[in-house]
Amino acid sequence: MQKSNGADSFVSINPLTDGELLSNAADRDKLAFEQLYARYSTILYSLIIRIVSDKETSEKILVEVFLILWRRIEDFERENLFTSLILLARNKALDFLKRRRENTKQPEYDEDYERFKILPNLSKEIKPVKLAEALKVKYEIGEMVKGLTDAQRYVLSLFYFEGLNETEISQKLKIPLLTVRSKLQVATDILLDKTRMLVAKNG
Amino acid sequence: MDKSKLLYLITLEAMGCISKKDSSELLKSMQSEKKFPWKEMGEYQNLAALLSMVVNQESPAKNLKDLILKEIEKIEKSKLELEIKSDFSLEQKSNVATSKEIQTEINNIPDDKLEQDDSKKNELKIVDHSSEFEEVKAKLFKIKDHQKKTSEPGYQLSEEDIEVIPFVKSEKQKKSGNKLLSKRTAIAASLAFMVIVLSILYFLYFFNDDIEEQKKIATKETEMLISKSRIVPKEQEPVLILRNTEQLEPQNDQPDKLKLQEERNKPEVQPELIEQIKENKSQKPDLPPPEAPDFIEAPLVIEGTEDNSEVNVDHLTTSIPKEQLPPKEEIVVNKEPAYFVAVEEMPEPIGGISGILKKIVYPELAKRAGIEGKVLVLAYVDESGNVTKAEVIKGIGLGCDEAAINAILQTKFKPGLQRGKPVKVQVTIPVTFRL
Repeated sequence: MQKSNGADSFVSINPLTDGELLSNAADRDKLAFEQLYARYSTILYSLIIRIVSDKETSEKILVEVFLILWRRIEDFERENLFTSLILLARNKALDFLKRRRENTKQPEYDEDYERFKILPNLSKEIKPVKLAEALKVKYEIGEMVKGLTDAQRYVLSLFYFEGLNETEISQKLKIPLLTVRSKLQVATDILLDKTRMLVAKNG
Repeated sequence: MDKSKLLYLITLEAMGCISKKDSSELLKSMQSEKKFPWKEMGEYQNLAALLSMVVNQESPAKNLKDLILKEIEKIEKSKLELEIKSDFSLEQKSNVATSKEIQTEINNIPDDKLEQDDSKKNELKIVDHSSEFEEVKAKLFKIKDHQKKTSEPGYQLSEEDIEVIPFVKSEKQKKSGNKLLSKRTAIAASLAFMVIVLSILYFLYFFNDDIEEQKKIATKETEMLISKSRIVPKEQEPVLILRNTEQLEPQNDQPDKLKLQEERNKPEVQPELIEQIKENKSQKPDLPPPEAPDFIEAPLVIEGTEDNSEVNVDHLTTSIPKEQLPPKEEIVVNKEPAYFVAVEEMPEPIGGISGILKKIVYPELAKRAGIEGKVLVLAYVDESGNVTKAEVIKGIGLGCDEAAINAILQTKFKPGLQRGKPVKVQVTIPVTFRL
């Protein structure tokens, strides 16, 4: 299972799964928490810096993401840390971006806001993805995204990295709302089909 | 809601940006729909997570891990503190009606102690202080009946005392590194905090009541302060002290208070000197206008001490306007100690430091001269996150200092939090100028 992928190898050093580390960390085991940090910090940081494109802020956000993990460790599902953490970091970074971009009054960042808007609202029936698996299919996913048309990719990145909603995108690109919708839908459907195939292939 | 619409909302949510309206619609159907497509939702969410693998991988700075671990320790610590303090908050609530009495009663403790003052006993005192808390509580309930306590100057005097002293003591305790970091210390610290809050409240109440009267009292107070403290080292030059009493005349007792606070730590008692001081005061019309020498003198004295209050002192002395103070100004000055230096959650500029940098207009002069560098600005952030005042600690000149101050004054902050409540905090902000 462990191939010569650089990131893969450090996962294999520690035989404990994310879920085990998570339960240990929930018992206030700092070492387990440190290992989780070692596993996820690079991926999360890369994503955050892609969104906010500012080193200092990205580091701040990364710190906050891990502090949220520590404070709300009970809210994280043992079996699906990968998706939870990535969506959490993404939401947090996009939230920051929105607050910076819009001068209008933003909802107050309090407990409830963090609980409902920042923490990902994971589906009840979600298939667990492991970090090691994700790292394995990294290349294929890159290829998948490249397979999209330029327009699809652009619209998708406006959603995913810029945190614009459909109305804002249609205003920005000066295209009808329906076009934005169809672009997003087609793009995600293609990607979804391909990932299903990928998952089937990898077992 | 039909399934395709639902799926579209799920896609939006998974891909990052969903409008508020759509978001609440989705939440509603998650709770109500019987056939909610959970499976598809899971797939979209996993897809969204997998897509993040596309970005270029980049590692964060190495020190970040230590930072996070430190923050975690802080969280754990404050949790523990909260547990201890919750007992006290209950006490406080039950005694709200007699807050004045609590205050005067508690104030009496350190005063009594000060009578037998000895600088070496500072640490011991804190322990005594906390052990007496139980007694005080018992007394408090008796006092409930005697609610008609008059507000003699003597009472405010002690109030003023305590406003400064508990902090100094607890700081010292920390500094001396003694291992009493147990419940006792926590109790003492929280007691001190309680007293400060109460005395500030009382203070505000008083000022609202009658500023004129307060002025009169203030002069009396400081007189009393001097006679009560009666602690002046033999070796010290009398001139220095006299100058400080002169300061009383323009209703400017801040540096004086600080001075007294330092004197308190010194052991020797010299009653004659106070007589001198008093005499001197009665001659005030003959004395030259005091402003200039005061402001030179006060910081000098402060520099000599290795007190932890140095930070506070610094901004106090620099913040007092150089001209004669109208009484309203004085209120502002008096309130200033309420700015914390360090709180559990420090204020943060909304939009980050980079947000401030964006607001900066690079001064033409500095641009032409090729001036670059860092300006350190001390900002006073109030409870609502506004910057009430900003001053340059270290500047580079040529208009950059002013530009930095202007940018910071325009910046809205996320207020600093102490026990979850927004408080006034002073923060130092580095502003980098780069061409």
